[in-house]
Amino acid sequence: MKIENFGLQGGLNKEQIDYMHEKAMWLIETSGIQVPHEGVLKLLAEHDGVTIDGDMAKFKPELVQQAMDAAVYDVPDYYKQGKWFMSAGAHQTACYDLETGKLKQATSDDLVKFIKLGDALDTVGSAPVVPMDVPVHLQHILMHKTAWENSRYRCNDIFEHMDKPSYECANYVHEMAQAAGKRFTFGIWMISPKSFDAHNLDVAYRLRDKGIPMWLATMPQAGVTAPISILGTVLQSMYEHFAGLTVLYLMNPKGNNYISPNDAFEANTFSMKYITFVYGSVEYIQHSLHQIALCKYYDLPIIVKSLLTSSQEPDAHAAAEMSIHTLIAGLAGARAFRCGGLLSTGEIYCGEWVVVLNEILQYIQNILKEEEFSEERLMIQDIIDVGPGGTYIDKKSTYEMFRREYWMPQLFEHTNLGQWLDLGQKTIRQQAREMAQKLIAEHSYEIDKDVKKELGKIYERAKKDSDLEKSLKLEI
Amino acid sequence: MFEELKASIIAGDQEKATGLTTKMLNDGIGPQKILKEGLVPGMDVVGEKFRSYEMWLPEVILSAKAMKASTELLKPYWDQNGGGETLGKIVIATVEGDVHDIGKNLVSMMLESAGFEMTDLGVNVKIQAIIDAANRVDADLIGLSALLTTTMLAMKSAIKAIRGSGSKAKVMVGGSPITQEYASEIESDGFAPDALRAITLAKKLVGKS
Ligand code: B12
Repeated sequence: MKIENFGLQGGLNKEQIDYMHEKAMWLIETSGIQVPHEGVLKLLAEHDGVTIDGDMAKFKPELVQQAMDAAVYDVPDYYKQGKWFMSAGAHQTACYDLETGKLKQATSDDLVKFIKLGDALDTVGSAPVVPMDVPVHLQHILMHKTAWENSRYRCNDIFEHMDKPSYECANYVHEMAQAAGKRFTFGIWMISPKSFDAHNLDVAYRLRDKGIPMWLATMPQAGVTAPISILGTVLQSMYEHFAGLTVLYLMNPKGNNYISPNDAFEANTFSMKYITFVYGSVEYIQHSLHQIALCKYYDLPIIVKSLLTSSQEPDAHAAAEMSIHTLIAGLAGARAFRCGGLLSTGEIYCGEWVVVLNEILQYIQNILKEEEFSEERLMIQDIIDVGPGGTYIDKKSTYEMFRREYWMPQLFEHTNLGQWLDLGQKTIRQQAREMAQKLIAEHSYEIDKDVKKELGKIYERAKKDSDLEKSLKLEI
Repeated sequence: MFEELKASIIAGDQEKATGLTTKMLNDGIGPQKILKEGLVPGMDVVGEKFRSYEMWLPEVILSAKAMKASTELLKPYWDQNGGGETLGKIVIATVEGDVHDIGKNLVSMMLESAGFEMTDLGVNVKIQAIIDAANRVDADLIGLSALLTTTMLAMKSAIKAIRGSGSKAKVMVGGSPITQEYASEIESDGFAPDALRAITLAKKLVGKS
């Protein structure tokens, strides 16, 4: 028999979400969203249930519902099995150097290291850093290539959200994905309130006949591009997600169109004091709880952005925000946690921090793990047997069960002062850095040699493609 | 009455501020005096309180709106009395390849409320369009915003192009990945890490601080 799992009470209830759903649908039908693209507007206009008013598109609730019902969320096995996991990194251009600990611009060498490190810790998601030492038009292609060559899960399932900044770039990544048998998707980031980036939409439009899976994300900011209340921002987020998804559904009928679980129902928080964007705040954690409730309601995969902070350094501030956020999200039922390694509201990547987070995740996971209620664990006979002055330390049961009963941390060691001094007085960051280096050195996964060769050929071709270069060249 | 006007600006009480301004004008007080002794000192306090993080953005915006509505009332009097020019003309844009505009919009809004005449070109703007607009409005200052590292890197050549075009406008830069160090390296005239400091910077660059 198991002891009942720990869980969090409260949050948005069904009636409340029903109401929000109805209001989101009504807003889509009456206010609509802006579609700054002639071609897409034309496509939309061909469908029943669509009203075009200038460049605003409005959809009937039944049509929106169709789009939502058609979305397929093909989660990987590790998610289905309820495993705890971390998604680590996304487009950081600055990082802490793994050797020196100093802040610097990320390079292709860092990209390889961080991907190997992430893979060694079974992390998933997008490529962690942008290789700033290669030309702009090759950066995203190299990020995919490196991720596929050196890791099992990265850029390869529903928890990726990689950018393809131009049509030409998307085509190269697509070709590589096909050569490597890896996942390829295209994502749309909406512009809150209620609009799209015309260029981003145009790339999707041009890719629409290829049967490519497309996902949608939006990032309304409470008090700036959305109402000041978190609840209002969540409602706007629902509205934008559903309306945006409907656009994809109508525009890309050959592909699976879905809401990116990575940012589903995102409602960003903002500091009116520092006029800046905030992650890891109290309100952001509250938003995560709403997000979890909504994902359960709509049956979307749950992945929470709990590994974020506004701290610039891997310090107590960062650790506190991430641990509390993850614990609360875990209690609310989340098993997947996102943005590992990110500091400074997502601007800086820190490899050793991924090692620390891996430990924090295990720590929390072990607090919340299922506990057996049994005669064996009540140990009544042992209590009878050991009398005053006796000890349990030499008991057979102790010997047999101690590893099961205690979780052994690897980083948050339980040394006493003398032992710590004896071990070299290392800070957590130093220890994490050493562990990271060891994990990278020992990492062994590599993609099939022939596939690697093929990817190399495609990359060489990309290097010389002037159309690709032009597609991302800033005209100055 | 000047103290009261100043207080109404600090409190962001638009109704009271415009009421007092109208009354003062009716009483024959010159617009210069109203501006210099009532409105501007009020906004100065707001600026200081914002800088010391005592007042927060929505409060400052409310004060700025009260200030704007009151200065609008002074406008018809400028022609007779002179002295109604703005602090300067600024062209602002998010650079090509970048669609992040939340920060740029806030900077633009704050600069306008501080008394600059703003031309906001939006997002994903080619440098030539920025140069053209600066020439068209005879801008004193150009503000460039970038949030992507790629577009941030392109700022360097953008500054060269602006200088090469013969434009007299100075260039200030901003956006979350940008640091003072980078701004100096690319030889911009100035950098500010947030919308409030952008006002101080802009005033300094046009010699009105
Ligand atoms: C909101 C957001 C979006 C929205 C933008 C909506 C909009 N209308 O702007 C959407 C969803 C569309 C978006 C899209 C993308 N984004 Co984005 N986005 C953000 C996010 C979360 C917040 C930015 C923001 O609004 N901040 C709030 C404002 C108020 O702050 P601010 O811009 O810094 O402005 C202040 C100061 O910098 C200064 N300032 C700003 N401009 C100027 C100008 C002058 C002259 C002066 C003096 C001062 C100044 O004053 C402002 C007010 O105080 C950031 C995360 C972050 N940490 O910044 C990522 C972020 C900027 N995005 C990023 C990326 C990669 C993208 C995408 C490529 C998609 C993706 N994969 O994530 C696309 C790119 C599209 C494109 N071509 O531009 C990265 C950039 C990495 C990098 N450094 O290169 C970031 C850092 C997130 C991340 N780590 O992945 N994004």
